[in-house]
Amino acid sequence: MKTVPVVPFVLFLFLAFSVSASGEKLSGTVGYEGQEFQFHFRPGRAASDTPTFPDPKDPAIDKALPMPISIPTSASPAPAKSAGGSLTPGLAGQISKDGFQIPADWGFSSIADDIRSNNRIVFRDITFDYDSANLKSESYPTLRKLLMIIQSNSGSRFLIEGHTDSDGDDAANQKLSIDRAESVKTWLVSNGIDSARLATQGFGETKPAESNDTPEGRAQNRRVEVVRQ
Amino acid sequence: MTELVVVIGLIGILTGIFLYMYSRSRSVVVEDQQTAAYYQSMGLFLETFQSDVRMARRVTATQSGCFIQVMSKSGPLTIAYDVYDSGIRRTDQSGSRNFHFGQPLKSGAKMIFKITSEATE
Repeated sequence: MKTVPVVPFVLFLFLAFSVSASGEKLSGTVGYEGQEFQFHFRPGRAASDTPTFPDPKDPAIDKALPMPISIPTSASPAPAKSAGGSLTPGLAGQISKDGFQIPADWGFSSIADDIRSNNRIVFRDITFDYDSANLKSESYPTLRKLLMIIQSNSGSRFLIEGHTDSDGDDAANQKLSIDRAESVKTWLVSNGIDSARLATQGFGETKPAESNDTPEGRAQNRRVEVVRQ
Repeated sequence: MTELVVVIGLIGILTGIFLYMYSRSRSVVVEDQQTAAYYQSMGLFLETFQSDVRMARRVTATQSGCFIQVMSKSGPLTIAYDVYDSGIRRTDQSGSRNFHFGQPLKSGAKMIFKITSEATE
């Protein structure tokens, strides 16, 4: 009579179960209320649970795809389950205490610093035609960044402030600053931002950032600032 | 005279039935179209989401969606998903893509996108 290899078989089952149960298992709900779907997934795994990549916590993940040497390759620590319902401590250094977030790899580090330190972003490369509220095409990359920040923080509202230098009539500058702030808002709304999340205000030449005595100072004063409210 | 009244009555009843059936079939067709569009959009969304998740190193739930950190061929990349009125927006460093789900079948129903942990560890 043959001996059944029970111990190796049980050991195999145990190992197989351990491997399949490792890793963070998440579930998602998506869709309209009453028509929603539920789905389950593990980061780094295909929907079928077949590992196409190593587990995210496995150091082998760093060798799964070719990467430049300069990029840190250590695996992320296991996520901690906080009482607030967040799955992980967050993308380190990218999410402020109240949930405002700008991913580091978007290359907006200076904007992220501005927002974190005083809830305000100063844009000097949003430019307009002379004495007009028409946006110049070179403003679009910056506007695109602003759009991405606003889109990815849908719980926040923003105030768009227009500022001018001291050239010209005070009243005209005041109107121009309002029109320019409105112009930025219009662009954002036309790109899918809910207008209720955006407010505008014009300050004309009343809040200079630099001296208006030099051309450089005046260039610094012609600006749009965005304040998170 | 009586015959005329009966004929007019019958024509009225038949016309009413026909109009009712027509409007009912129209509303069913519209509902079917909405449902089909919804499931098609949902399929496209889930396909994209699962594709991102497959490469994910970390998934972070946010108030209105999630962030996914993936290791792409060009290096680390963060993808944001967040809900807007009638869909979900996917944003990465190259731009945004909207998954529009159309109108809900139930009037006033809100779009939901939540990620939760199943706590297997």
